[in-house]
Amino acid sequence: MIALQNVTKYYATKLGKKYVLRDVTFTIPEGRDVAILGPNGAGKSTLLRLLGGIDFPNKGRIQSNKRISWPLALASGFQGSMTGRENVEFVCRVYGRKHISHTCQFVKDFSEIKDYFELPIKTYSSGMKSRLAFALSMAFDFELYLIDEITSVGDASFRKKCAESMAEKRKNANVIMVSHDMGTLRKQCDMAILLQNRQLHLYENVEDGIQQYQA
Amino acid sequence: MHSVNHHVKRTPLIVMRDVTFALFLREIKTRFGAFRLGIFWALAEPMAHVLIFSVIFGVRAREGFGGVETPIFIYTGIMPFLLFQNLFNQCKNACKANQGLFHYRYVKPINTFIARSILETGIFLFTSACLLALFFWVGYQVAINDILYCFMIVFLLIVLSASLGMIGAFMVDFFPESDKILSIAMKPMMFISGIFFTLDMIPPQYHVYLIWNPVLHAVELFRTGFIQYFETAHASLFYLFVCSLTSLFIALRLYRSHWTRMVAT
Repeated sequence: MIALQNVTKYYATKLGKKYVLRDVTFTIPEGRDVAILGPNGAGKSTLLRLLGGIDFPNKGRIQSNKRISWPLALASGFQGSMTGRENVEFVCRVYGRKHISHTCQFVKDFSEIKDYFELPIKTYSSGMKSRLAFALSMAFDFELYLIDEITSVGDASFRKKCAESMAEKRKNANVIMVSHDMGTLRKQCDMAILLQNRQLHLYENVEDGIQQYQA
Repeated sequence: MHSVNHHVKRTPLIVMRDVTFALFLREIKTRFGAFRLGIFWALAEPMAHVLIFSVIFGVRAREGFGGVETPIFIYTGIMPFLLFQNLFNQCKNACKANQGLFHYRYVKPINTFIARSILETGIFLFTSACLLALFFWVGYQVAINDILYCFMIVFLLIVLSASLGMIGAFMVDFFPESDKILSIAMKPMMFISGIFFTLDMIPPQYHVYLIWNPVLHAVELFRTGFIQYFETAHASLFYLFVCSLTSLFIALRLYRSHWTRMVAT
């Protein structure tokens, strides 16, 4: 369960405050797989970051009792000057992981980036980066995965592996997902939240949410 | 395919320790890993200063230096000054340099400040000891008069520099232009912090232009601890203490209200 209490989030720009959320009180129910819908620039990624505890509301509180993953996005969460291995080691230490070399091996194998693992992230292609990001997140067990458009990574066989691994994780975990691919959302989620006009609207059924969104 | 997981519930203090340690290792790697000469560069900067001023003042001059030769005198000035300068700059840029790592929710700006402060302190202790050993080997007298007093001054200086660095980081965040002003303001610091002179050598009517500088006080006080017969009539431990404490207070106050700004991209 994630509870938002009177959450207001805006960005201060040259043209004044741009609101993403305005005085939103909302509870995301437990045990559900949630699709987040909304037009471009509505702040879907910002919402994921707020839920993941790496961005903060200007007013209000967000509370949760779950182990929530970092947002799995296409190109973020790595320090470009560090190698893939150093980044993975860093995350292991931050999350208090004991068997670091074990996890490194797992991530290296899963991501299939081979010896690039020992090179700085800034030398990676965007595909390699997202493969590494996905592999790293698969090395940890979270109760809730925040997924930002990362499901379509790599070639067919890699995508199959990702789907299998994700399915395994989801026996004990739920997802909150942002995607522009409605097919993915229909398949993966069982409810929807529409982010529109700085408010959140809940739909018990994904299909209803998608219809409302596309209307 | 499998992944090993341990959901040990960590207390906030343990999380703090884990994250700071992770950042500390990351800083060491970027500082000393990329090019193996990292340690050499850490030593080269103070050595260059000692050499240059020794040439200017003469290697065996003792006048006005409290009974030590020029190299030791310069050493006792440049080491605390470099500690100040490096710690200030490192803390000022701590968040920017680790921006990508705030993607993990346990990583907070304070961890980057602490990790960098520990690393800079370590570099200071290491280079100080190395240069001292070098002086001893060359044949200078390197007895430290009151090592505990030196450590106390160094501690106050660390608090001062890290706090000012944090304040600088917030200034740059609020007004990006101020980064340029800060770097201009830092330029003359080397010449007004008493590295190659003591306050007593300056005519009293000019003291007013220098005596506000807490780093000058730290350098003079460090010398009184280090050099047996060094006397300072003007440096004040109380002033250094008040400056350190005040800047720490301001830094923590700013941090408490505005730390989330550092995380947001």
